[in-house]
Amino acid sequence: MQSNNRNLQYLLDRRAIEDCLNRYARAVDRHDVEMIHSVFHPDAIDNHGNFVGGPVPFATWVNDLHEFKTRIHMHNITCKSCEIDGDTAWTESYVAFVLHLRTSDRVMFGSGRYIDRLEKRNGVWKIALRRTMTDSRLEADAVETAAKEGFSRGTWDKSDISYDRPAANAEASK
Amino acid sequence: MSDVISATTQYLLDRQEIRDCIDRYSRGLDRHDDELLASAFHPEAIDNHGHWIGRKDEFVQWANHEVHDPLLAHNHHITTHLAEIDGAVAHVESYVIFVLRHSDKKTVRVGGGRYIDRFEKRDGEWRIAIRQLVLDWRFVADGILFNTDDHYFHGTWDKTDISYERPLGVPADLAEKLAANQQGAQ
Repeated sequence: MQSNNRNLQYLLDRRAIEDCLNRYARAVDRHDVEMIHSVFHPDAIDNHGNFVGGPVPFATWVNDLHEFKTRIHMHNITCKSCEIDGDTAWTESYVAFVLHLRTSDRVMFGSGRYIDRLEKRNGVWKIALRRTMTDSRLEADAVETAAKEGFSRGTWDKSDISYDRPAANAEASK
Repeated sequence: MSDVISATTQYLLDRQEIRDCIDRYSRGLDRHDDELLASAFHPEAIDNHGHWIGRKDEFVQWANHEVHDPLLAHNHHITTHLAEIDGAVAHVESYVIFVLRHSDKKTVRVGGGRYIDRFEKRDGEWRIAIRQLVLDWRFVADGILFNTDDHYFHGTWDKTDISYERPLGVPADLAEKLAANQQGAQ
């Protein structure tokens, strides 16, 4: 029974850590300041290329970058490695990101990794330190993105349908 | 009741261990870490990459060195992942999107495929017994962009890669920059 509880706790920790890493992508992709703050501890440090600083300046920096320099962006979190040691965890998560810059008719695709130290404080896992690496970047013709073919396009505020609770049927609500 | 809880917990642990093994394969490959890559397979495991087939040890040499050494960088992103567990055997399918930066410093190859695996649990450890790669699509794109400085760290294929640091820390140059920024903000 004890080992069952230990295993359950381990799985819950893994799930909470994974949710935090995924929520980061959702937060930056929706320009959601509050949600960006929520994945970091208040004294956390984030390093993204030229930027290094705490969660509050990071949210401003990353949202400005996406708001003013891009038309579209998406961060896909894929592989994860995770080692938990008590209330500290080391993680590596892969990111495959797509950016459509305002100044370009091409789409940029990049592939990199977030290396993090997460800490569990008051029962909640959040990022304490994030260092970011880029392994590849490429550009491709973006003509295709102009053709929406009737698909919904996301927004950078809470009108995005991912905020609807319960999920609404767009056709039915018309 | 507690038997049901144990069985459920065990199922979730098995699923987690299988997914961890799949992701460990990617990390082992992308860091050229032979030991880590080998740890995804059982000793006599067979890997079939279509044009190449062999056992674990040959695979590690072939994949990490023949195939990937000539490249400048690569990532194997695991996305959609399904597993059907039947006792100590599991049938697993994992989607992969791979990004390969070529030594001409101009081209990047991107491809998508699926790893179809038979996993076996032996001595309490889930590892790949048979792997077959199916390649579904591939394209070549312009990678010149990478040569423009983006100020990001770039990975290495040895233990100097920052992903090996335990615990992860803040290097001196970054700490200085952070202190300067914080002073500037006051």
